[in-house]
Amino acid sequence: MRHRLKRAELRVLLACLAAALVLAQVAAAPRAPRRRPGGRRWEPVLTIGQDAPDAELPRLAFEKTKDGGVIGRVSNEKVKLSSVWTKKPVCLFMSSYT
Amino acid sequence: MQALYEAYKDKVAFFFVYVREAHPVKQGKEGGAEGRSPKDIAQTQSLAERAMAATDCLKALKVTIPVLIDTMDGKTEKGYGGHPAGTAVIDRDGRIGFTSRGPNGIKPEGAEKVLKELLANKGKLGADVPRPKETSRAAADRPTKR
Repeated sequence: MRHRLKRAELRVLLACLAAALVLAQVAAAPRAPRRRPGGRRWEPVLTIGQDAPDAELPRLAFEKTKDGGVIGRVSNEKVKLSSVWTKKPVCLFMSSYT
Repeated sequence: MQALYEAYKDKVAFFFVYVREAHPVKQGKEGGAEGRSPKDIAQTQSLAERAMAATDCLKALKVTIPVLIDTMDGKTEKGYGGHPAGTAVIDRDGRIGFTSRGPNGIKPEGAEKVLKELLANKGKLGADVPRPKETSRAAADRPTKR
């Protein structure tokens, strides 16, 4: 004998389906990366496809010291990034010791 | 970083741009004194000081990438978001192909992926990469309103 859904059962079923849909949407939504309280978000300064800022920077040159060590000094030779990237792609790593 | 440089140095121009110190100690508390680390560096006040700090950094990290010294006004770190650390890949049209910044901003893996794509396309970004409406150079060239 076929069981017919009563109106009340149908309502419960529809409510469950709606709740499942909402939960699925929440689970699929992109989440902001977790960060510690007071932590800083490092938003990118540049976007992909954007023109890169040009800069002309001095090279680090090395000289040998009398005791056989090596010391770095600011060279008079400067590198203009735009004159380099026309010849080949450029990869910059920016950092400091600390 | 060094491995990426060794692998692609003939086809790609690599530069390590030494920017201002991310975690400087106070003046007079620099390394070398008893109980202090050689990594205790006060904020550099001149390009010469920055060159010395860069030399120590290269020795410690055993990096042979050509080094450029950022200007004292931080033109590169501000333009590229290179502080405290960052990576940027630029194509032969002068467009950004990859960028990252933050305390863990050195991302050789991300850079390598983009470099492979660039080298497969004559050093240029693909036509599918749109150029943003207003670029940094365009913004810099635009006359300011008075």
